[in-house]
Amino acid sequence: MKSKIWVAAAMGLLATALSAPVATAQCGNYPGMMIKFDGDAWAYETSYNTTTLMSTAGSQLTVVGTVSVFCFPFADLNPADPATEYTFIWDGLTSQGTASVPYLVTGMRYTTNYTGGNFRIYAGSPRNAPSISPPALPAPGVVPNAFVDGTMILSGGMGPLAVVVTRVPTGGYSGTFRADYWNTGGTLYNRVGDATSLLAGAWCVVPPISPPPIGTCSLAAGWSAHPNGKWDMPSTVLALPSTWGKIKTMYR
Amino acid sequence: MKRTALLLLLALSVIAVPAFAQSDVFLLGFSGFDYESPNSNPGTYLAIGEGYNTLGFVTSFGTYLAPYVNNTTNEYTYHYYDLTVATYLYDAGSLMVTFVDPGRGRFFEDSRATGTAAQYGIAPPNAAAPSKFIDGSLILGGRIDEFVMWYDFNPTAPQGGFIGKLTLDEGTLLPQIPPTQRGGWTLAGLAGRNNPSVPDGYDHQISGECRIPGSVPAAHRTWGALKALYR
Repeated sequence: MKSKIWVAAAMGLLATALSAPVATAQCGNYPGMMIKFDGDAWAYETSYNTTTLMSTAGSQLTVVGTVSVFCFPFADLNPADPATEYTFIWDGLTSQGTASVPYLVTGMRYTTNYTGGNFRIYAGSPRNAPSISPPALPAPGVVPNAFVDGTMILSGGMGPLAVVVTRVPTGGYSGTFRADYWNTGGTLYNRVGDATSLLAGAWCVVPPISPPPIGTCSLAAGWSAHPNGKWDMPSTVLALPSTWGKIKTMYR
Repeated sequence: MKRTALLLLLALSVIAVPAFAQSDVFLLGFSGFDYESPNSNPGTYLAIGEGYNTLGFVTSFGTYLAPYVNNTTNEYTYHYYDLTVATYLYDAGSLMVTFVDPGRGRFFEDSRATGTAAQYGIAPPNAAAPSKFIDGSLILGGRIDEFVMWYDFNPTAPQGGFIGKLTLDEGTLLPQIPPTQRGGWTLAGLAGRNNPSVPDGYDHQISGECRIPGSVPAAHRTWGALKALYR
């Protein structure tokens, strides 16, 4: 009898340890997307020419936004919670200047690396960050304030943020960004650890010409781009998502 | 006297015509994976005549659709297909391809309780993909034109992107899109590097969104400036 109880207790502990919230299907395979942001994220910097797409060396880039999806190990957080808003900021990003080179003869590629960046993700209340469209800058008391209020749940550093904007030969613009990131703190740091992973996505610049070419994003004055993208899960997230049903099949 | 005071007030006032949205309108965001099918030339990525497909999940909705969707009870998926490579440009590790117009983009809603959960599987097309991504209700869809994809095969940081035009013309939620805004949507996003999250047989992680340019912003004018227009 005691052995049966012990086994039951042990199985209960095992189930608890391994039955981490199953990532919703939209999160894809493990390891994969961990945190995503979509329409509500925007970038501004201190010395950027929206017509030439050139960032001056030394310009300071800041990105603010709101999280749209949480995956494992944050799948218990609800970005649509009416009482809690999950926002983020990237700052400390120093431009190394923009290099422009011809792309496939008639196109052009603009590459800017930003070094020294950090990110912080907050859980705040009430929901007060701008959404849908950002206010014109400067917006004292709102930007970046409304994006950095609340409890800091995750923070970390960023490797060089590489922003690549391509004017393709057909005339449209396609931009992407990527950076290695690593976690260093926050109330939920213990869920992820400090291994390096990828922060990447699309980077939609303000139109350099009128009418706006395809692939550009019209924004209020003062903003330079609209990024959308994701933090991928680092390898230090050790626990695999599972279910009690899956565990049982292991012992059949 | 009163008339003079009124005219003086109007002359000094800043008249703003009704404010229109200055920023683009966000329709939805998505995340998934892409693959070639047909893949008639396995040795060349996106050779002329090959097909490009991407499928996955809608990750958020903008204001047009948000009141009519429910992520708790339903799963939302996307599928872009019928994109056949038309032109192929490759130079020093940089690839750019264009596609024959039109391709097709569709978005689906499937009940989590009674529907079939979308699964990527391996080596698509397979028993699950794209079938389990397109077996729900068609909520929105349209033709994709001028789709362009580029990829930089930089060995240290491979990455690519895509852009295309979406004209909405079908779906149960089409009535929620203003008739004057059914055309002109932009599909754009990242085709990320290969990594352990990419299922076998798929090529890249896809992350992107669909949006439409905002209206031209109104300018603030004084009453005097307005009068000058009609002299």
